[in-house]
Amino acid sequence: MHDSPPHDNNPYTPLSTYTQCRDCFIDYVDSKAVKRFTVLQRETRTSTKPEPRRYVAGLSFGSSSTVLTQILDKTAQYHASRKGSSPFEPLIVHIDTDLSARTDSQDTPAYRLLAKYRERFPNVSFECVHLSKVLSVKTIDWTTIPVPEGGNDAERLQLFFSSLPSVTSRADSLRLFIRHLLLDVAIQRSYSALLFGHSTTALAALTLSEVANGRGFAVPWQINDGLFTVCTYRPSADPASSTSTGEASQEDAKIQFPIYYPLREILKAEVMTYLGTTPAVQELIPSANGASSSVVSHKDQSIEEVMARYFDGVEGPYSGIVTNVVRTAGKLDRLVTEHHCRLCGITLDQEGDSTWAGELGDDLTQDAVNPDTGKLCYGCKRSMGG
Amino acid sequence: MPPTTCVRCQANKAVVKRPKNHHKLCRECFITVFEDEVHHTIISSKLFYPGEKVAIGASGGKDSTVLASVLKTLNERHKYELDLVLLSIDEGIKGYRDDSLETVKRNAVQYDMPLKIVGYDELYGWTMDQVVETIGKRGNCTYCGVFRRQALDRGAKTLGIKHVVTGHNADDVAETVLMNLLRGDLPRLSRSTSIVTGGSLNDVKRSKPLKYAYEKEIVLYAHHKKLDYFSTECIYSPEAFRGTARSLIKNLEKVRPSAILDIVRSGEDMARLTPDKGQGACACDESEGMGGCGSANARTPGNETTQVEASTAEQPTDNGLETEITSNGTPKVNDDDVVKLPVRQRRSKEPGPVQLQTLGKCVKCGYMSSQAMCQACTLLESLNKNRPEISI
Repeated sequence: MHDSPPHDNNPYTPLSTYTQCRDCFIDYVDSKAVKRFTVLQRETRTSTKPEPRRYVAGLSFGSSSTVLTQILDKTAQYHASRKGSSPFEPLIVHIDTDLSARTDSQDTPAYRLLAKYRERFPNVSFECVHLSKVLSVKTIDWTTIPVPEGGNDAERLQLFFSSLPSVTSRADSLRLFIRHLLLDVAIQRSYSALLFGHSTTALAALTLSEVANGRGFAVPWQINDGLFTVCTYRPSADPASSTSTGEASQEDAKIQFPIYYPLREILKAEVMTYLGTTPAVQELIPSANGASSSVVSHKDQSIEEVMARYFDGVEGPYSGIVTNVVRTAGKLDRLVTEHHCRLCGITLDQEGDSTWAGELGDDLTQDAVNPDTGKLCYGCKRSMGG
Repeated sequence: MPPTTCVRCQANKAVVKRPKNHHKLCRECFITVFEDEVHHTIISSKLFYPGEKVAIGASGGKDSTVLASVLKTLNERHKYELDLVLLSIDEGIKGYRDDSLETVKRNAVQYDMPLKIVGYDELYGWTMDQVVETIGKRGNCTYCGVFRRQALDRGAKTLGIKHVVTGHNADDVAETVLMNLLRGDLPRLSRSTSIVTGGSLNDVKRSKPLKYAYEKEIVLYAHHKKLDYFSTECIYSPEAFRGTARSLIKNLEKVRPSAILDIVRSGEDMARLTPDKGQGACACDESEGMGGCGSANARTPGNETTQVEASTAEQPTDNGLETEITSNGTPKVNDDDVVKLPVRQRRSKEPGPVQLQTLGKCVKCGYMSSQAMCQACTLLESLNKNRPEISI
């Protein structure tokens, strides 16, 4: 038996079935991500001349997004060292979701942690954006969702989240807000693409969460790489009356923006092994607060967590299914329709609404929550109302 | 603490908390609401026409018993004018099916419906007990599921019936949606959520009127209507991987009760996003694993390609030992006479890599199949090949 296998192209094999030396493994993971960068560059280039690659990448301080940061840092360093290379300028953005902290403070735990990341990865820029900024994002039609008035933005968001009917609703809207906010940063500052650090496993879990949230129609838009249509909304003249009368905002503009998942071919186990090769990076990641340990009360769990737990358990014995899910999602068409959901931004599926015959039988109590249900997709209605 | 009153009639004491939306209802209101919802499903999907002869696939389990009871009630209440018949399959599993068939026989008397029982032994020359003896417990559900789907059709045909209803519930459909995603099975994803399957080629159509009914509500309905049903699980227990999908559904339901219906909705929507746009609804492998035993098709992720390969492979036949099956019971005609009939055209501008399945007929028995030979005949061939020659 060899300690190090030859440097040929190994076919895709789960980690457990063959041994690789440390360097080969790092190369293997790096090259998978870099291949996606190449695809991204090819699919989004607008001219034949070399143009700067300016990407925004989300950082949650989790394992996958940290690995993405690490690979972006390496790639930026590599391109900077080569004179002929076009500039590679990633901006890593962390969305601070701590609504109890002061939104203008520079001394939050998130800022402090980000400072350590900055020190560790000198070839990329970092920024911390507070979640409350989402309220000024124009890619959501704020008149269609019940965000209370009064107080500062963080308080309003806090009230909004606590008014939602379930943990799943909160997790679902939080994820959408973060996505919108990152997208907004990227668009406002003229970056050329938005990157997420989801591993194959995370994408599979996201796919099934979307399905369980009634967002099956959105799966190809959420999971696949490519151009995403972004609508912006102009609030109607009098903001106070618009929420009370339920009059929705005007659709302002539509643009196409690329969203990519460069780690889509790397399993979570591989992400963890990769991190294990550089303990100094691994130490940066705040320890998970027992998220995947023993069973907690089902009431305090979200669908997202149930899915993550399922795939944690299944990745080992049935690792093939993780890739199956992502590949299947990749084969689904992205249906283009004229109207978009005012919250999640996915195209509205009027055909699905008209053929759906499995009502939940909620007629007794319905319609108290939201006058604008026609503007939201099935999944967002479910998140807002129950 | 005073008893909670029913949110619907505001009069009686609530005895049921609906699993679906947590409404608290009295017994009568729950039964009415449940029946109304099934009625809504039937009407909105235009499942039946007046005077139609319909066979209810009856296993004696809770789902099919509730289906028979609800259909009988609705048929009388809303004047569907249906001619209802119970159709049971005898897989030949001692200690399980023989007992549940007794339940079906009692149901036939209780609901005043004719009952027809068809057995695997007469159709295929094999009982499930013999199959398990030959191949072992592992993977036996594949045989049972494939055989059952055809057996229902054959049974219906002998009765001159063109519509079979089955007791698949929302949990089954949701499980199938997730299973097809986990297996990466796009063709099945596109057809498994349709309420009506089959029909065009095979002329026996299938439908599932309880598609939107929660399993838990079916149990409650059976309980409150005091229905006579059989609740033992199949003795040849289901396969492990499907079990993980089932428990995932149950966990999701605990976290958010609407999740089951939400998955069904997602499944319907995704069916329209698949390359064949949900048009390929056929019953040949309808709703994988949605059989009475909850694991009608026990395939592990690894062996499905093997099976597809097996169905295309030419295998030597030995007529002396085989039970040949034809669609109408007549002796097998020359294979050359059977023309493969494609029902839909391949769309011209489909993306390349995704292969579409084309619905044709099995060259041996004429049952619908996307391969040259249908799954049942393929499985039978492999069984018969290994069967020792019996001398009397």
